[in-house]
Formats: sequence, C-alpha cells, structure tokens
Amino acid sequence: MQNYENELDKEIEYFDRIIKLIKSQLTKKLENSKCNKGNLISSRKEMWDNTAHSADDFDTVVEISQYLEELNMRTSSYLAGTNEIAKLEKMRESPYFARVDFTESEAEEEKIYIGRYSLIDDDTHDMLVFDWRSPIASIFYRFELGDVHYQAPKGIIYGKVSLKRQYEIKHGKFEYFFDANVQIFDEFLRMLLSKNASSKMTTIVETIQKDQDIIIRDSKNELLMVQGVAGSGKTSVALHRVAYLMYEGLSSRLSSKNITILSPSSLFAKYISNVLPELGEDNVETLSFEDICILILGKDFRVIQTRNQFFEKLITCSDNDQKELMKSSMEFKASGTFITMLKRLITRYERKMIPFKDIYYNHKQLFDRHLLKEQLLKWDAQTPIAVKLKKIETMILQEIRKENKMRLTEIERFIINYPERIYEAEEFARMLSIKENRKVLYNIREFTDIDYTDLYCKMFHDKKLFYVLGKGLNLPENIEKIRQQSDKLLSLKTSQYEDALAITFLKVSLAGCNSYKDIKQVVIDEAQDYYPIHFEIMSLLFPNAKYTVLGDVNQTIEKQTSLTFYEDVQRILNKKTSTLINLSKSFRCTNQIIAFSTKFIDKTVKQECFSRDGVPPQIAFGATQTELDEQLKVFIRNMIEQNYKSICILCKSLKESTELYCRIKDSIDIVLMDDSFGKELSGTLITPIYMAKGLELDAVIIYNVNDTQYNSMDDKKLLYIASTRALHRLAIFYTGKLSRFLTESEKEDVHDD
Amino acid sequence: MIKKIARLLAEILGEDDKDITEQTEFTQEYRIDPVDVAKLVIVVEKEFDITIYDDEAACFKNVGDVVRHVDKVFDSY
Repeated sequence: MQNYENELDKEIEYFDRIIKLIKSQLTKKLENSKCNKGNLISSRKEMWDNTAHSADDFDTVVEISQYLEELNMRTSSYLAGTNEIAKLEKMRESPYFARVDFTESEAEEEKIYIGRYSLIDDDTHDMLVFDWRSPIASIFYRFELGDVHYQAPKGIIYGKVSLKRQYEIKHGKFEYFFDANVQIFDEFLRMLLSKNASSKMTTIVETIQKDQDIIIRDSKNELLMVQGVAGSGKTSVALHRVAYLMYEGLSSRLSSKNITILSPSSLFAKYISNVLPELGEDNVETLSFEDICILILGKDFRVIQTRNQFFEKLITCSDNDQKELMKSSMEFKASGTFITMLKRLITRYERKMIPFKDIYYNHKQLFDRHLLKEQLLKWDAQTPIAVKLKKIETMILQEIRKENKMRLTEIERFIINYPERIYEAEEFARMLSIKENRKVLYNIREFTDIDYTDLYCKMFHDKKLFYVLGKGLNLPENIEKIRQQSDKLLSLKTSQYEDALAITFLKVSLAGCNSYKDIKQVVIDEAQDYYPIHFEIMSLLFPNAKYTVLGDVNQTIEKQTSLTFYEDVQRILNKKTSTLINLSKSFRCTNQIIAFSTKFIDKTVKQECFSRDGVPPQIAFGATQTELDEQLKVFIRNMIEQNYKSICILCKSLKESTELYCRIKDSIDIVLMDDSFGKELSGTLITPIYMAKGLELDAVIIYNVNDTQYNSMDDKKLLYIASTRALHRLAIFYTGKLSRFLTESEKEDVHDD
Repeated sequence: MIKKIARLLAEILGEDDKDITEQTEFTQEYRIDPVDVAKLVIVVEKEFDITIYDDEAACFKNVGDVVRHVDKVFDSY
C-alpha cells in the first residue's frame, strides 16, 4: 500500500505537469485561432468589397481566383488550428490511459505514456504522450512483461518491458491506476463491458486485444479478411484500423477522402459515425451498396429495390414455392455463373448487337455502318465500349459540322426564293438546320447511347440469346422458371434488388466509372451479406484499392454461406497479398446469452466468450396475443426500472413490427425503427431482425417466436442474429407452440418467466 | 450570365426579362417557337463571339441549357 501511495504521488506529479502543458498549449492555440479567425473574416470582407460578385470576363475570373486561393489557405490554416484545439480539449479531459516502461537493449529505461493523441513539449521536443497508433504503443497491446519487440520504420526494435500500467482519468481528474496483469486487466474490461450500451459506438483504444491489434496495424496485406463471431468487435476493429491507416498515411498521404466504408444501412452508418471523430480523425464516407447503385445507374434505372425491401418481401412471402424462386433467383443472378453470362453479353454486344447505321448529311453518305463497327473494334480493348461509342459520335459530328456551313447556305438560298416567307432567311434557315441536326443526332445516338436496362431485359426476353450466353455453364435446375419470372417482372417495369446489381455491373463494365478513382482503402463490414456480383462490382470501381473485409458467415439471412466465401472474395478481388484472420472470442454478450445463442448455429463453430456473468435469457408465454402484449409491456417497464438504456423488440418482419408498434404505442414510449429512422439508438425501440444487424442493445426481446414463424434454417439464423444483439438481457416471447429451435435446445438453460 | 441570356431572349420575344429563368422551356407553353430559339442562337453567337454548332443547339431544351453551354465554352478557353 505504501508503495502504491509513493507511486501515486509520482503519477500525480507527472499528471499535473502534463495537464499544465496541455493548458498552456491550449491557450496559445486559442489565441492563434482567434487571430486566424479575424484574418479570415477580414480577407472575406476584402474580397467582397474589392472584387466583382460575378465574372463574365477572364480578368475578373483571375482576380477572384487569386482572392479565393488566399482565402482557401487561410481557411485551411484556421481549420487545422481548430482541429488541434479539439484534440487538446479532449486531452485535457483524459491525456493518457496507459504506460509501459521500456528498455531498448543497452539504452536507458523509458516511460512511454500512451493516449488517444500524442503530446510533444514544444520547448524540449520530448514526446510526453504517444499516440495509441504509434509503433511503440503496439507493445502495450501485444505483450506482457518481459521480452518484447515492435516494428518501427527503421526495422524491428527489441527490448524489455518492466511495467505495464493503466489509468482511470476522467473529466480532467486522476482517479486511480493499476499495474496490469492479465487478471486485473480482465476485471477492468469486465467492468467496462457491463456498462450499458451507448446510443452510438464508442472507441476501444484502452482495451484493444492482441489479435485485434494485429488486424488494426496490418499493412502487409492488400486484402485483409476477418471472420469474427458476433460481438467479437469486428466493426470496432475496422474503424480503429481506419484511424490507424490515416495516422500511418500521414506520410503516404492517405486521407479520409481516400477511404470508404461499405456499411449495410444508413442506420448502421449513423451508429458508427462517432468513432472516428472521437479518435481525432475526419469522418470517412460511409456508403451502402444501394448508394453506389443509385449513383451509377442514375436515371438509367427506374426504381431500385433496397436490400431491406428484398428481405421484407422474402420474409413476408407466404407462398413457399414463390419464396424459393425469389431466393434462387437472387442466388443465381448474384453468382459467378451469371457474371460469366453478363461478361459474354458484353462481348456479344460489342461484336453483334450495336445497331450501327449509315450516316447521311447534306445529300452525302458521310459514314458506312460497317466501317464504323470496324473502327470501334480497332480501338484499344481496355477502353470502355461506351467511351469508344462517344468517340465515334464525336468523329461523326465533326464531319457534319464541316458540312454544316454549306448546308446552311443551301437552305438559305432555297428560302430566299420564297418571297411570302414571314421570317428572315437567316433565322428560318438556322431553325431548319437545327431541326435537321436534331434528327441526325437522334439517328446517331440510337447506336452511340447504350440503354443498359433495355440490354439487360433483352437477355431474359430473348430465350435463344439467354441460353447461348449460358452455354456450357452450370445453370440451376429451375433456370427456365427464373428466366420467365425475370422476363415477366422486367416487362412490368418492376425489378428486383439483384437486377439493380446486375445492371450496375453491366454499366460499370460498359461505361467505366471514375467516381471512386481516389479510393485507396475499402472497408467492407457485414461482408457475409454480399454475393460474388458485389465483389465483382467493387473490383471494377476500386481497382487500385486495398481491402479490409469483415464478416461472420453465421450471420447471413437468406443464404447458406461457409468459409469458402472468403476464397471467393480472394479470387474475385485478386490481390497480391491476402490473409484471413479469425476472431473467435465474443465480448458483447453475457455467458448466459452466448450459451443460449450457440443453439442456433452449427456446433462445429468455435466460439469463445469473454467471461461475464449475467441473467439467464427468459422465455415468456402468452395464451393470446393480447396477453402476450400485456406481458411485454410489463417486461419493458421492468427493464426501464432496472436502468437499461436501450431496449429493443425484434420481430421477424417490418410488417409485424409495425402491427405490434400500433398495438402498444399508446401505453409504452416506443419508436419504430424503419428505413427512415434517424434518431439515437436509445430508449425503447422496435424493428425487424434484419435491420438490427451490426447493432448492440442492452436488452433484446424477440417477439412471437412460435413454430409457424421460426421453423426453417433461415429462421434459425435470424434467431442467432437477434439473440446476439443483446449485451445484458434477452427474452423470448411467444404464443402458440414455441419454435422447434428452442424446444430442441436444452431446457435447463432456459428459465420460464 | 442568366441575366444576359434572359435579356437577349426577352428582346426576341418582346417580353419582360424578369419572367425568364433558367427553367424557362423552349415550348409552346412558354410561347417560344423553334424560330425564336434559332434567333437566340444567332444573337448569343454574336454577343459572346462564340460558335454554337447546330447539333449543340439541337439539344437546348431550356434557357439553363444555353447558359451552361456558354459557360462551358468560356471554361474551355
């Protein structure tokens, strides 16, 4: 104890020194910022007073752009300053969270303090706090006491660690420290995990595990794949990796603009939106695949069915044959086999399907259709076809423009001979010429513009073409049914999620896409939900990017996936170096919830659990729906009384969620989470299971788990996803006969309410 | 730029240029005939000393298209 007190005195002394330094740096920065702000405002005012407010001539443009350049410089300097201030303000609250005492071979022992950001003494240039992402900080995450090493820019550094210490510093107050060994650290982690879920995901810098750290700092692999069980911290790891890449990228110029995160929904994107700013980094653009489809297809596609709408339609479909057809259609149209057919369609289109025409203008044939085709095939095969067709259009228009003067003179001469005309000859001739050009342009664009949707529809409508494209491929047994159904739906101008994907693939292949050319790192979360066609599109959109792919093959909704999924990803993205890392330890749920949820997955799946005790999942039965609703209300009130901050009722479909919401909303303060939900993830919520993917909540109630609703293998996976959303409490509510997946399970783990 | 184009079109139509916006369409609804568009093309060419090809003029659907086209020509200088 005496020793602790001595050490505490020293720590507090160091802490006070750091806080004093932070405060003095903060004061300086605030003064600078005030000055920069003043300069910025006066520059803006000066520009407003001294330049024209619109530019019609070149000189004014030059003048305005000179002012703008200066303004931009001042603005970025001001913004950089405010960023520094925000970091220092956060550091004033909690400057560091750990320390390691490290001795490098013969050198003196150094005390390495680790925090969210680094702190340098401006006078001595001493590094007083190291950023958690700095190379030396990795020893804190990866090693116990004794021999350690870390990868520095100049090579591997070897040494010894004699002390690992952690601190609890909150709101600028030093609370306590402890010298970390495995047991104490686990206690600390257990304490953090037993807290309520936040409405937004938070950082985990203090508790990053060794295997998580390996993923975060990996820079060797162009394709890094992570298979992680539910609650293993995949998303956290992904975001901390992004922060690490930006830190590391300071020298290689990797900024937030070069990174993109593909997330399953806008709700999920909002949920994770706090992490990077908390880590002091600019937020990275989060995209959903639907966003990509909309951006690429634009007006080329009528209505894009979202993935959630697809799930809803599938889940609420009562006709089993129709349901199977929907699933097999999705499976087929997103498969490698179908991609091969689409690639064959593209080749065929270029060679045989473009409706070239002879071009006539001013009584002459300017171009022959055969020669135009020959010209197209002669050009570089790497250039997208749509680009080549536009080159042909330009070539034709250039010839037409050469002829246009003569044609205009001819028309004018013709008009002058009509004395009864009411317009001036020049104007009237110009009008006729514009009209004529419009017709010619229409003819040209019939073959230089590609109608992607029409081409796609043709593939299903023309049976002979469809089977020519599929020749020699392993087509599913019900292929003719799929073809007919697709043809019917497409002709009715309704199309499925998978059609939007296929047309996106066609368009990117035929026209190319430059929108994402600056993306150097792509992070894909919930990757198990993607099919080969998604990865094919990604490899076209982000050809030069490195990838971090995170998923859990046990958390798919409508498809059967195994570990071969990662082999497909590797084959399609085709990167020079790649690896698959397994995260098998779950941190989210209590022991009881994990034990309960493993009943819904393959027994061979290795799933460890960070030991944390909790309340066993409850199963509640109601003789009628009304009785069950009443019990549900009581349960929710009970959860609120126990101070749980996020309580979520999960139903199978949005339809069922909406119905339940309408029944109970007058007696419980509850929010329905649908596609348009934009609020915080707290309070009492209700949503379909497929929308809760990736989220974590204090208490989860799975509603109406009877055997009519949950009886297929897909339903079993839904139960796994639903039950692993819960941090502390899980309850199953049902009427009628309990789902077979719960009656089959060992009863002793289940307690009746 | 919109002000200048609107003024030129208003002179052709004999109307007040305040009623002309980028959204003003070259249709009967706005009482703009194809010959008015031809007149506009001619005066815009003279006013800004640029060439508008007839295949380009064939794509003009509203005043905004003309404004954007002239801006684009200036940008390419």
